[in-house]
Amino acid sequence: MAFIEFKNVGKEYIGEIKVRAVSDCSFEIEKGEFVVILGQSGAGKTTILNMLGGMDCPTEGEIIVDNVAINEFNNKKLTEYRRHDIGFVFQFYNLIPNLTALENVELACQLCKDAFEPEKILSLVNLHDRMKNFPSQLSGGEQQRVAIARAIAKNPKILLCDEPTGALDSDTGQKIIDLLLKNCKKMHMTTVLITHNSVIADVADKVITIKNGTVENIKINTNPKKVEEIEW
Amino acid sequence: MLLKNSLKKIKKSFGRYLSLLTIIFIGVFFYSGIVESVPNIKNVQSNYYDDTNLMDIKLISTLGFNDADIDSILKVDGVLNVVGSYSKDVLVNNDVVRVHAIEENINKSYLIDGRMPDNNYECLADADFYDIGDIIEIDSRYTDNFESSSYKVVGTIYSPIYTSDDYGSSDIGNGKLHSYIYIPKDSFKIDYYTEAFVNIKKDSDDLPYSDSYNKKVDNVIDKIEGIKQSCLDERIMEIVHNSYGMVSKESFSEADWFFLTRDDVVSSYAILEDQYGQVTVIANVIPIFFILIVILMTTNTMARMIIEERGEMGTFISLGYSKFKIVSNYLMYVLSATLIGSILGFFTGTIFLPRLVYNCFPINFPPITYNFRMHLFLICVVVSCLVMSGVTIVLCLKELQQKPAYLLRPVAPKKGKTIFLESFNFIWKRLSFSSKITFRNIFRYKQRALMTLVGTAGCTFLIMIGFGLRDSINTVGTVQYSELFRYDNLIVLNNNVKSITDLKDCFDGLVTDELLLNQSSVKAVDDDNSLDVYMLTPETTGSLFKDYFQLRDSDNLNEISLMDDGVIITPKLQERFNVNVGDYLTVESLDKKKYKLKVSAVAENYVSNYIYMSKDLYGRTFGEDISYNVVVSKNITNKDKIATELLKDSQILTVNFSDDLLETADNMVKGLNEIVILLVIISSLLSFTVLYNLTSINISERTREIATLKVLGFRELESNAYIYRETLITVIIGIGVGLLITPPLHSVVMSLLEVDVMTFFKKINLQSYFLGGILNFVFALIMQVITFFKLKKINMIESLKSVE
Repeated sequence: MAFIEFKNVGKEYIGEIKVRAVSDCSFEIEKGEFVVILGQSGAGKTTILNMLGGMDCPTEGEIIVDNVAINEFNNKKLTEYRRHDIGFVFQFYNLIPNLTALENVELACQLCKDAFEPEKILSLVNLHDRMKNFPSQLSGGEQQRVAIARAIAKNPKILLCDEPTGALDSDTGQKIIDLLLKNCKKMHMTTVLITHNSVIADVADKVITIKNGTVENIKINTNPKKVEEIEW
Repeated sequence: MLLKNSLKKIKKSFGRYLSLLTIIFIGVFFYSGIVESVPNIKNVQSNYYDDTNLMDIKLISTLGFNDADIDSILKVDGVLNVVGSYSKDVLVNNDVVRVHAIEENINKSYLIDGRMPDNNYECLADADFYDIGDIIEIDSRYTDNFESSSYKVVGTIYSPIYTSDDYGSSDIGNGKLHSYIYIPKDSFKIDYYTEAFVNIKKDSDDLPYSDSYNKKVDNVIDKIEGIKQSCLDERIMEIVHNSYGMVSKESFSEADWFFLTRDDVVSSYAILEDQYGQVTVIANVIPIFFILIVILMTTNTMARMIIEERGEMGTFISLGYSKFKIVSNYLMYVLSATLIGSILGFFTGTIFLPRLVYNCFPINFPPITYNFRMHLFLICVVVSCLVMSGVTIVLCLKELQQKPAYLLRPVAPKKGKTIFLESFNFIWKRLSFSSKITFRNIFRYKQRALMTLVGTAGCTFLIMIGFGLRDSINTVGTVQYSELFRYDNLIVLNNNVKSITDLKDCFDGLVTDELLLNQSSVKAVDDDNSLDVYMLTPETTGSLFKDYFQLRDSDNLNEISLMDDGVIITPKLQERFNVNVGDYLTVESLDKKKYKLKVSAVAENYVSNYIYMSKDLYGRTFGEDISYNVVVSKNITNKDKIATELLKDSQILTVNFSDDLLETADNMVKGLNEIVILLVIISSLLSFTVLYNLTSINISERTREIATLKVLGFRELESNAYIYRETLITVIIGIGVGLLITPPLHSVVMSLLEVDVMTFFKKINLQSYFLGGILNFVFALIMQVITFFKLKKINMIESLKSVE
């Protein structure tokens, strides 16, 4: 059985009018894989990520993570799931402006027991010198590296990244992808990245393309490109 | 177009609009209501006196008055009307009841129920004690002067003369006037008038208590004094003539007229003046703090709104709208809230608060009527609008000076900074991670933390000053009449005596442990001040005196003794005349002679002012042998019996019981006490609104941060603590500051409230500190619960949105 399984997952938002965001969505992700979920904006990829990250519940189907059906979780269990099993990297970094780089990482570390040493993780992302700096004193790329450090430091089962290069220039973006990829392979940490940028997809082990709220195509790269080979 | 935009804005941010409106409402409500209270009640009082033609002067003659007297007084300049009338004190079921004659033109009663009497056997009676149909049976010893021995109550009334619970004293029965009735004038069988009531000529500015009124009264009294002797002479002639030589002119050597004003006649007239003063002080002092907090809060709300709306401002500017148009857009939003809030606040405040305050006064006046004062209305509305639009214009223009492009970008989140505490590494490294975050946040949101601190400190102050007022005022009577004065009764004698043996017979079986005192009224004077003082000289300064009068040093509460080398004075004399131990105080006796007294100590005292003097020093100072006119003692039977029996003796003038004095003192402060409760309630309301406002702003500013924490896996209580801990700590510091600043301010407020015959405690009870702190803390906790639910509602998806 795969590490992550989406089985016929659907999501309907019921407001003034019913909006179907995702329907009949099925795929599998293996442990330690680097997966890209590709799609245009509005395709439903963020909804999929939210459900996988325990921030939202599906209205149909099943989501199995490490043999547990998380679609049956209540709010409390979802919180624990996010706390221990998920690391999240945001498009706009979402660092706490009032905490230094180190403290932002510490904030996440104090949440779980088997977290990594914050300082070591910051060294890992090459920010050891800027530990005492506040987010406003860091460049976008540096901020995103802090955010990645914060997500990794929790030692999560799954690292989820929502357009992590969306707010960065190409060069910096490349470095971020490189960092994520290396981390995935080194720590054997399952990493799911969503993007609308098909170039990034070339470096992934698996690419899941989403269109109109459902899976259009699943492609396995037997020989993914090196980060240095891609450019956008 | 802009109007439409304003309306949309209100709809969009209805919560904020409402909170702005509410704060303005509370501010204007409290201010206008409390400021309007005294004028409104005074207005009722003044109208009541006008409607009932309440007397200005009451004349009593030892000989009674005849019609010729009345005619002569009427001719005096300044007199509008004079009415010769009757009154007699009688016993009804052992209660003292004063029987008055119904007059058409003066001291008219206010009919509560029923009708006027048709015949000489019917009466009007005190609505507090009688119902229509009651039969009033006059004790047979007192029926001589009346046509009937029983009167049927056909109407219940309030008399303008009896407006408080305490009707005053009488020289029959137990000495305490219980109630009153009014019978037709013809029903009196007395061949002279027992009293004459005078209305003076006054105009609409001569309101009760005003200087102009008091001056006119004094003036008329002086003029009537002028004709007094000739009237008395004629009256004596008449009496001698009517007695067919049975009495001679010489037996009228002490014939005299006495002048009484509303101060002496109308129960509560003097007390009311003090209470008006006290409420006025509260009305002048407390709203200042109140309004400061309100301005602080509304400014804060406005500032927040304008920062949130800067993108829209940028859009308008780039579309080419003029600054004036854009600003007026926000002005419309603010001014509509201010107008609605202040107008609603004004009307609810001036309609309900005076009514509440009025009900707190222990008085029987007709129901309060609404009194609209245009200038107060304009002050409230115009000032609120000016302040609010000023704030809006300044804040808007500050933003509009920026380039539109800059405005279109969101305001950068506040940058993180190391705080000064971090330079003390040995402290900083010891703090837990969460305390570090809390400290950073407090300093990051300095402005809001300061607002929370000032708001909480201010509200703690308001609540505590409320309780403090109660503490200071409530205990005054109790301490004076149970701790300091420990005798049960004070008996005033008709004639001075030299020794207690002269009285032993009449005290037998009623009172015991009698102590003779000389009590005289003097005035302490210096160049600028004068103060009424009772001078007390005991027959002995031995153990009986020490038992009855606890003389304690006003500073350290050590016991002090009355010695022959100087007098003991009370604190108000010390303050007013700036005399200390060893200095000399000048007093003026009734016959205007001045004496210098050396002060040997200052004794704790709260009600009235006293000078204690030893017998020996009395002799040396006044150069005369002392005689005594007052006895204090312990009761050995019930009060009614003591009073009734003692008053039968011609040597006894009046009997006062400490219990009754205690009650009177309590009544005097009862009104204030309830105003204090009102103050506490409204302050609590304000405190609550302030906290709510600050908490809402805190959450709305940090939605993204909170959503991120949730995604990171913070549990509900953890994110709650992360956000709220700093507020809680600031609130606690604010409460601490409030508790610290209140005592000195309280002491200032109390000295403003003091009147000549009262000294207040300047201390606040521990319990009030506790309540003031706890109440605010509870509000903070309630806010915590509200925060909890607000945080729960924040959607994690917020964290994914772009920064806009």
